[in-house]
Amino acid sequence: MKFYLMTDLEGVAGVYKWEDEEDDSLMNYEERCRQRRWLTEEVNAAVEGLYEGGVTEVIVSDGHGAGYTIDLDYIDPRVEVISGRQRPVWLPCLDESCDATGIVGAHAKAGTPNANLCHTMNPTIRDWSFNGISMGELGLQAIIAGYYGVPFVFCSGDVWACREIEELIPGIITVPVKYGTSRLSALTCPPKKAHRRIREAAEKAMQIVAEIEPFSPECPIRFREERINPDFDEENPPEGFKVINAHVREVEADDIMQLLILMGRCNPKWKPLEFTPSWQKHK
Amino acid sequence: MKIYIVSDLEGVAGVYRWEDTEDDSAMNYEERCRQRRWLAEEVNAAARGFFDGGASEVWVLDGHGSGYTIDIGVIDPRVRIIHGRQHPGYCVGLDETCAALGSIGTHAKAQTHGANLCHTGSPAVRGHWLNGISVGETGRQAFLAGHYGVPFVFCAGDAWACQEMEELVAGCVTVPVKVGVSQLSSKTFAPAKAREMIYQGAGEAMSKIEEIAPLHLETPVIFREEYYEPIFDIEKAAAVGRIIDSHTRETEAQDMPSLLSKLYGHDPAWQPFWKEYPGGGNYQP
Repeated sequence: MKFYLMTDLEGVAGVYKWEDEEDDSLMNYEERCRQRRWLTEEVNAAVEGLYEGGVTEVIVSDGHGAGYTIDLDYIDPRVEVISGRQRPVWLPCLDESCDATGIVGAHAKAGTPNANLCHTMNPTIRDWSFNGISMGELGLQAIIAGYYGVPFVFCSGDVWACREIEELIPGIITVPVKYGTSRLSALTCPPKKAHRRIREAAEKAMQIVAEIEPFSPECPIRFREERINPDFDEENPPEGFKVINAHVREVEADDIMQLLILMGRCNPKWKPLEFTPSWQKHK
Repeated sequence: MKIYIVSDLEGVAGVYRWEDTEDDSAMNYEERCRQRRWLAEEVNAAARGFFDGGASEVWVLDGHGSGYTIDIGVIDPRVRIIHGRQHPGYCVGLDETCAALGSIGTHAKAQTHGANLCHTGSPAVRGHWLNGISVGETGRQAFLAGHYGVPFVFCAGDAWACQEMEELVAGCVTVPVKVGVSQLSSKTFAPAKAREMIYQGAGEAMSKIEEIAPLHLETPVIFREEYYEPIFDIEKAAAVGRIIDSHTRETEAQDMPSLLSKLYGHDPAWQPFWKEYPGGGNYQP
């Protein structure tokens, strides 16, 4: 039983502001190190619960920022971690070999009132919708997983993110570890309490894997992207897209893979390397 | 039984990006210190496997960057480290007295698409060939060892590098501690898990030394190097070798040690202290 665990930073208990990669002060250095540790401990709590729930393999995608936020010295040694940037696809190694997926540290989509640190991918995006339904990163993860027949069963993070994914996937196990009160404030669980909740919820999530339907929007998919700034030129639309106005582009794609290719978020030629050392084949 | 290891940084579990020696931030300082420790711990794990498997000596060439990446403070005291830069020879101490060669923190050769941090020597190099055989840094070291009758038996690093070395050296023991996803991303085992895997693999490699043939090259050796940019002036004769075109140079030598001396301008007559004074008196390295 293989689990694909996405991670992000903004929905981790105790985090309330954007990571500042520029501020070189010791105070900020300490904060960043501490938040890396909090994220790692939340991941470990989820991994613990998943194993208790019967998982045998966990792939963790270090999804925040430059993809190097998880503290690898403290990560549960049973997992493999995908780190780094310029990835050939948004969620490498999430494919039909996985049995379920989930996320730790989830934040709500851009434009969610009162949600803490809500955004969709980057600050330029005001909203995404797929077949008319507004979604953020959680929705995209659900659709990609669904494409491979993988159910989305677990989400921890801001309560607004939990609510968002429950609306898309009834029955999913969510665990709010903080309650956004505004974009830059939240009522948070202390990290220790968050870990206990996450562990219990992750174990429970393993019990509903068979009950949750993989999330699959109707194909073709009508995709709409709204930008904060007037980024689009009606005369020169981005390849494959129709520019509705300077802030909005739309496209109809055969399926999510074709859409991700058009969005520049998927290199269709990439495949994970399958390699087993010869000495282990003979054993 | 003396085991010689060349270490590098890019193939260490947990490392996914180029070392930034300019960035003076606390965050980068922490990252570099941590990665030096990870490398040292991987060296320790391999050394423990080699010693448990019957090695009497483990020599490690600190091969990354300016040759000062292994955190000496945490290194297994049985290990001997060759570090620093401007070495008088290529892989100092690698000779017929070694029983086997291995590599730690290994990355794939340049142009390996999908491999994490792949390169050959410097980012300018498109490829290296020995008598027409494509080699990366580790492959070239394996051929140098072959000259001395020493087999290449062990490689820990990116799975792409492991695959590359298994294709070159049948039967060598490889330990993929991470799998490159792209030049700047990888799927890695936790450093703690990587050490366990390396320990197991090093023990296995010790039991394979007799079975693995040292790499053989016909002589004279022809070394071909290709660069991404046109760096050679075809109007002028090369200081070393023969300019094929503005991107390409070939160098011929009677064997691997003389090739490497030619390429790096080393004095082929140079001998390490421990060779000049056999036994070394009280100054055994």
